Amino acid sequence: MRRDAALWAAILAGPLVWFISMQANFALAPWACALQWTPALFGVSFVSLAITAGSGLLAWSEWQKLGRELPGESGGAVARGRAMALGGMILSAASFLVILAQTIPHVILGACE
Amino acid sequence: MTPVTEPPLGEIDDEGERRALERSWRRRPGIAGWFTVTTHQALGKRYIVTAFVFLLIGGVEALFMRLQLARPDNPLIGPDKYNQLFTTHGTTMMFLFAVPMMEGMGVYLVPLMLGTRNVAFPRLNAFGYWMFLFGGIFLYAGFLTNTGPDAGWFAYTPLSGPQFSPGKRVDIWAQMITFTEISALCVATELIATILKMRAPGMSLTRIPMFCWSMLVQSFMVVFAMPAVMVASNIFLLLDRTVGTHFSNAAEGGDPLLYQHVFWFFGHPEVYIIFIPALGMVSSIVETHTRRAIFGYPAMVLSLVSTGFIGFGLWVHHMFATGLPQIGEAYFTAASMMIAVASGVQIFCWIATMWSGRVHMRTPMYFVLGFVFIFVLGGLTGVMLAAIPLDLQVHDTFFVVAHFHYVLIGGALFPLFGAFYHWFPKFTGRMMNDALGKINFWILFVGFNLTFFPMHILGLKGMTRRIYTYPAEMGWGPANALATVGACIILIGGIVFIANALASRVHGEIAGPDPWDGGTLEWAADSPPRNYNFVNLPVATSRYPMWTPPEERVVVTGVRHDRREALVTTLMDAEPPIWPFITALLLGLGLVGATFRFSWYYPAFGATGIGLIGWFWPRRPEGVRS
Repeated sequence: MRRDAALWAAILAGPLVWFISMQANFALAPWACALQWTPALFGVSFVSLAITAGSGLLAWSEWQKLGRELPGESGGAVARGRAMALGGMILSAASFLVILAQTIPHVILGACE
Repeated sequence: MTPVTEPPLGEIDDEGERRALERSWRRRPGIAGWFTVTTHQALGKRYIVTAFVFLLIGGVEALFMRLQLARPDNPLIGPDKYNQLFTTHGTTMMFLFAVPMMEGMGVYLVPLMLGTRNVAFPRLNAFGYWMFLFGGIFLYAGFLTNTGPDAGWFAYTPLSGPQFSPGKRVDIWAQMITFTEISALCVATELIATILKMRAPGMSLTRIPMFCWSMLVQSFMVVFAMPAVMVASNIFLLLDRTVGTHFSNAAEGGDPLLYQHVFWFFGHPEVYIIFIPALGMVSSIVETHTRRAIFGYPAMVLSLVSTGFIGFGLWVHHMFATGLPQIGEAYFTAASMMIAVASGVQIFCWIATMWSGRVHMRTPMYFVLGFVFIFVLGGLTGVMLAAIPLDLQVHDTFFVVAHFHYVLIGGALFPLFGAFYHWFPKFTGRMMNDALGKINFWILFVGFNLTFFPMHILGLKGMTRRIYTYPAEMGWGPANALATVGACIILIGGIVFIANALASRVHGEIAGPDPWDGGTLEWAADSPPRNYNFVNLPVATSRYPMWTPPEERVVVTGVRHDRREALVTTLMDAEPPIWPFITALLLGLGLVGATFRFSWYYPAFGATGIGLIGWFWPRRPEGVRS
């Protein structure tokens, strides 16, 4: 039960945090411009990157506990767990990369552009 | 339920049990049967054929537009009819062809691939089909009475608002959305439940066929995306037009951009809703015609899932010219570029599958290779358009028209034609002519590129979309003439396909259950499948059960044959009633009436309630005594 919860969290956290981060930054941009306070945008991105990295690590640690093997074709709780752990690692990595890419504009552009 | 070894898979020697299945799953004969059918094969075929008819209608509209633009100052079609043509063309292709076609393929193939007898919620399936059909008829009733929508397929406010679009044209568009979205949500719900709950025993997560994964991801996208367009069209637009609300009226505190945000929150995922099932089709074709397990199955599945998620974070790239904060737009540039990674992973996996397998160059593979070529070109212009400076230069030009036709025709229509050739034997029991199929491919491939490649250049030269003519001195004439020649070649390709399908339907070589030596379970059923698909439900002993040696194949026994019964949901509560049709008819009449007078909603919902009472009225299943 605890493992299932961890695996679901690892799978869903990355994409959800990415989406929330993007929405938050998109909504914050006009405020950051008005207040001339860009760190708010960086803050959202860094917290999101940290959570996404955490979800990836969670998936990786579950994968370790499940024998560090790629999911084969077989069924059962272990194979399903491995598939979910692999999914968690890859989705977290993909979300991390997208958030990272979306952080670049903070560096290049000012909040008011 | 007792798994037993019983080769060959899907057959049984007890004729009595087969007769019981035939009796339980038979369709009512005659006209009543036509209105009460709930089997997935019949409804899937109806979706496919109806959507194909809409493809032909939308294609003819496109051809008329090309004829109009073939030369400068052409008087063939006036501006008003041209506006109706491009709006109806876009609306037809997006809402009446592409999505229903993909869902029809899903409705037909998913239960077969999963080794079950029908989709979950079969009556909802019937209801969804009728709603789709009524929506299409409604749109064309308007078009044929000079009330066709004319504000573009996305009906931007304020152009589509009451001030600039009086009359009923936009109302018909907005209400047509209601019909088709209800239909899409019905199918998505059925397919999610079917894939998650009704798989054959042994079909673990890592054994689900790629096409079923693609339909699962697509269905979840439908569930999250479609409500957005209903909010945009039914709440914002229709209420502004019929009740006098001011969602889009900036003078009263409304915001036209809100409409665009909500519309594109649906509109961009819509592209993936169309494209993701096509990826599943490509995977099925590639693995069958190379006779090799798909390379990188987990990577392929996770790419689909990633695309499903990231697809919801790109919508603002349709709005780069609206004056949003540049830093906000840059987030969407980043996401738009990153989604190319997920698509790239799949393309490399297909290439690796072909590289390591033995490719049989039959017609479906031609269409797959054509898809890879065209889709990669469309993807490259997509990455270009994700860059804000370039997007601002070519916004609303033919460059964008070229890009999305490369993505949608290359990404969806070519795989779909490949899928028709691939699964035609399953649909009809006969093979399509392969030589004619290859000719068909080359005609479509040449015609497509001749039509749409020049549009890149036209766009870069400044030709804007949605203009009904242009002066000769602009210098756009030759490229437009070339594009029109290409459109005529596409028409010839379409005719060749129809001729091949009709001739093969009657004279084609008898296919047998598994003409391609395919690995997934649809090839275990008869061609065409019986109403119950399998006499004994199969067990998935591997990802490709049909490539398992016959002596190792396993089936399930013990499921009742004298009732409509399947595994997991146990009872397919789908005795063929007429209530889904009646409910769709009553709701449809109400929605059509509400387009002209808002108060029609009240009797519409009341009448629909009566339909639902009939639908859900408790009945004792056949074979159960009091």
